[in-house]
Amino acid sequence: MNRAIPGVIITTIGLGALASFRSSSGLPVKSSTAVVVPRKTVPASTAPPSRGTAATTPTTTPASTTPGTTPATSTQTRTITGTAVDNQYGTVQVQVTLHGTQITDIVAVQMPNSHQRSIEISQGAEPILRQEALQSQSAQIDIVSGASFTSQSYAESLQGALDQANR
Amino acid sequence: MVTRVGPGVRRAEEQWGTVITLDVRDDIDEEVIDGCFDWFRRVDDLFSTWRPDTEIMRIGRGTLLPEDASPEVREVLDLCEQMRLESYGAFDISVGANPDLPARPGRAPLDPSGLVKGWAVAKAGEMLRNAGASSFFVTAGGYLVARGRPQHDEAGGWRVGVQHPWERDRVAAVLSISDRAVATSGRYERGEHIIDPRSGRPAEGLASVTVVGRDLAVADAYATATMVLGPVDGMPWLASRVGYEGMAIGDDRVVTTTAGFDRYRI
Repeated sequence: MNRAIPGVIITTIGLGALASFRSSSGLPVKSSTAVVVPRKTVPASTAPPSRGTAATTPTTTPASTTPGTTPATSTQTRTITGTAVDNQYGTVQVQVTLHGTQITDIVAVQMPNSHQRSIEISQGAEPILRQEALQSQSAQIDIVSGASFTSQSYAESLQGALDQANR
Repeated sequence: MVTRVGPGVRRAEEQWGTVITLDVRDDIDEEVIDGCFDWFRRVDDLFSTWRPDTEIMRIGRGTLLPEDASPEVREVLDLCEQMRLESYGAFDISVGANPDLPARPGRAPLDPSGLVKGWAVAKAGEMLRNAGASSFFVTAGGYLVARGRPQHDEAGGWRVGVQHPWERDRVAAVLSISDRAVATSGRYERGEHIIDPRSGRPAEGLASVTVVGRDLAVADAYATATMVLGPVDGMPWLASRVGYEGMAIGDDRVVTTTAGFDRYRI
């Protein structure tokens, strides 16, 4: 198996359908335990932040999209259902809803329940994700978690500044 | 900036091509700190992919059998294999040896660096605990373990800033961390250095992934795997990992978090 979600089926659904679906219960139809809750002021159906010319030209489809399907534009909402994948933990199948290139919903259609660890996953940790816009903060901190800085960039990094201040 | 109160020692040393910082707020023998940095040097001797004589390079060339390697190397290889299976191949240290992928000059046949730094930092944390320390952190290039609380009379945990990918002097989130590990994997610092082992191409779509959990080696590998799985597959996969929470920053500046991540945020 090459991918967690190898083949996909693409269905285009109307925006109105998504909106009414959201306002009716706030929960996805397929599963009562997996839901994307929008945080702060970013509604789930908001168009993604502009990425180049994405607003007017077809965006690239996700990596797991089957070649040959109609390219999506940023105004389209699509649900992508991955094929059911059997692995040593059981069968996994997820359904992702995208508005343009932004994920607005992820639903576990099938999760493993075949042995103990998988049961833990199924019952306690189905994909429940939240989305928000990136913010930058300037806060009092003790430690920085950043992608591996090189020795050269360390001196001008936040961690370097903290170490300097605490010497 | 935080001002120091009470006893303790803080030391930063350059190793592994980055800087390792160790901060202990207990009274502790300097020899314990020395021992930690000796450990980091041993890790480099065993696992560096920048020198031909390390055990990991000899195993990659086939001149050393894994079963004849040091116990530490065997432990890391076992852990890497476990992570490869868990991530459906998104985490795979043998990408450099895959004959089906285009050859990249300078790439080591076996490269466990997506896990070994976190693993080694976690071990240093254990050394400090065994020496009686109860309030400390160890960090190396974004991987950290934090134990106890920074001031012994304060309720809050260590305040950990998640580096903003595009603003060097800002953070994208602030976490309160106590008795947990944090690992951030990203593309913004060393260029596109995270390769998708399944295609041989650089991972795309996510600028950084931060994972919080108990074991730093696992958090490190999960962060790498989530980067590789990308914006569509990565976070649902991470959300299904028991005991670990995460936050991904997309190239489109959209932040995705797992449901339990909020409990660490300030």
